[in-house]
Amino acid sequence: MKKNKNLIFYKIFFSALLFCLFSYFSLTIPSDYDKDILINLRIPRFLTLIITGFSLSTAGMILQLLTKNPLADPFIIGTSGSSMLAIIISNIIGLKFYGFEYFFLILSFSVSATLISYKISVLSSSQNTSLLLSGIALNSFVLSIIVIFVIFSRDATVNFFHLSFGSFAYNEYRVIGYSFFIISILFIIISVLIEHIKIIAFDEEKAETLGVNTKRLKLIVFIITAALTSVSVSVSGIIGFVGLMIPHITRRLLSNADLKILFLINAVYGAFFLLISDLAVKSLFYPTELPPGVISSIAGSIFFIWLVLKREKRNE
Amino acid sequence: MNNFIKIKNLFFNYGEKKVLKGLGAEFSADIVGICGANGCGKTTLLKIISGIIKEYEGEIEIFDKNIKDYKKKELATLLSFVPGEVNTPFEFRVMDILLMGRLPRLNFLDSYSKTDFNKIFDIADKIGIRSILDRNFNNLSNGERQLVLVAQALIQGSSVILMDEPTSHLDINHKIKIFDILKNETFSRKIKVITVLHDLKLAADYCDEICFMNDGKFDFKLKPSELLTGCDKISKIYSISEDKIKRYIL
Repeated sequence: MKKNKNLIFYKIFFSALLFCLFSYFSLTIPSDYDKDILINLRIPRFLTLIITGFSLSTAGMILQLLTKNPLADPFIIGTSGSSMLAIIISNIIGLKFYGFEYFFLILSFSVSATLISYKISVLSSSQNTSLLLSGIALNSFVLSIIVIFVIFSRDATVNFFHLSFGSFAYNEYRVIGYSFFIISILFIIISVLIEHIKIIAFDEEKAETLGVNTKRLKLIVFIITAALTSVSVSVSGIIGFVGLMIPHITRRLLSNADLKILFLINAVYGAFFLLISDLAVKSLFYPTELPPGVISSIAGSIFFIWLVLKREKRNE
Repeated sequence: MNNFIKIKNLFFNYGEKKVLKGLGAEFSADIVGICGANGCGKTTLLKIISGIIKEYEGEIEIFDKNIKDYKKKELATLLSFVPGEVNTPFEFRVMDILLMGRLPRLNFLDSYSKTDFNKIFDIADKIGIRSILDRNFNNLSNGERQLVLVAQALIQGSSVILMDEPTSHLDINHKIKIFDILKNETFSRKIKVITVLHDLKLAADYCDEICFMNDGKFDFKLKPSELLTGCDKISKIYSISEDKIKRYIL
């Protein structure tokens, strides 16, 4: 019975996916003009969206496992915000997009943001709540600094809008290629470490006695999530709550799957979700286009509140 | 009889609070019970021996080698730790949890082999949790969860099992079941068990040696048969009258 349900679900999922892909590319008779749109606008946009979906949902899932906190998300704990600050700074000082210094700057900002949030939460007794609280503090701190930069620099103003609610447009193939390269390396590392991550999510002390160096592993994995987040922010800006929602949905739909498979499916769901929300933002108020972060933030904040209420109920 | 664990002059503080104050002990019996009042440092001691806490002063030797000289994975094949309780917000299948016990024996980049699975099925049969292998850990009863954790420790295949109040939340039949399993294992596979216990009755029934801790030190050791004659000493540790202790044990 259960298998049947899963099968039906998969059929619906894949037909929806195919439908979306077709309507996305709207493959009618290709004229030169159509080809131009397809190759220079639609396909880069689609690839950007895949990168973002993959990296955000994976980062969210792994953060949740590692901090044992189902409310963790790179946006909420302030990693995305710090990456955005780093991008604005590097634009102002004129670093080349996807040069080494550029990525290093963004990565160092996002890693330090993740670690700060986590360290604060470890110091406090109620870890779950304080991770979110330190995230709020970090987010508003970073936002104010961004605003200062935006006011004093003209270039940053344009970026500010695209970055703060996300945008899938404006990416060269070279940038997309780099990003794919980076996230595929990160995915390989994650799949090697996933058994260890699983044990930490189960019980940290138990992990320690099973020969896992928990401190080192946590540091490595925090850096990986920060790197995933900074890749996604640098190609498409901040798109909040994807990392929060998608892992919950994946776990609910496939509660019995092994984590090794689960995190790959989770990544696909992330991209799928962004595909749908991109279709929505393009067609809801045609010809005006909304930024994609709008949809995910509306859906995500409702989801977040629902999740908090559900946890409260369980704790009673 | 050889002592498999030797502890010399162990000191440990949680911040300002001194927990262990120059503790020394040697264990040789098959099942060692550690008893004592709340807050006397029993759990801390176990966590230090199992390598969870590393910032201590003193020396601990396992099989005549200092635990700081062992590699982490090596230590994991010698010692396994059974926590009193595991709280996880995520859903884990019982099978996944049992597989974790094989991780120390796995090389980098290897995945679980057929022998790993066979070992798990063997022990699951022995303990009687074969029927719940596909269930979700968080949906099990307290007793079943503890059985799973004990199974995980046995699957780890180590020679010493450290247990932190494994049976304090359980009903009588699960308490007896878990200790029967452990007793059998100590006979059949020559493993050693060190367990923190609150229940003196259980300690009297199953332990070969009961160590009493008081204020960060080991106070005295008793054989289970000496428990009744040692009631005066026990009553000092728990600071209640001798009669009450006697009545409880009987």
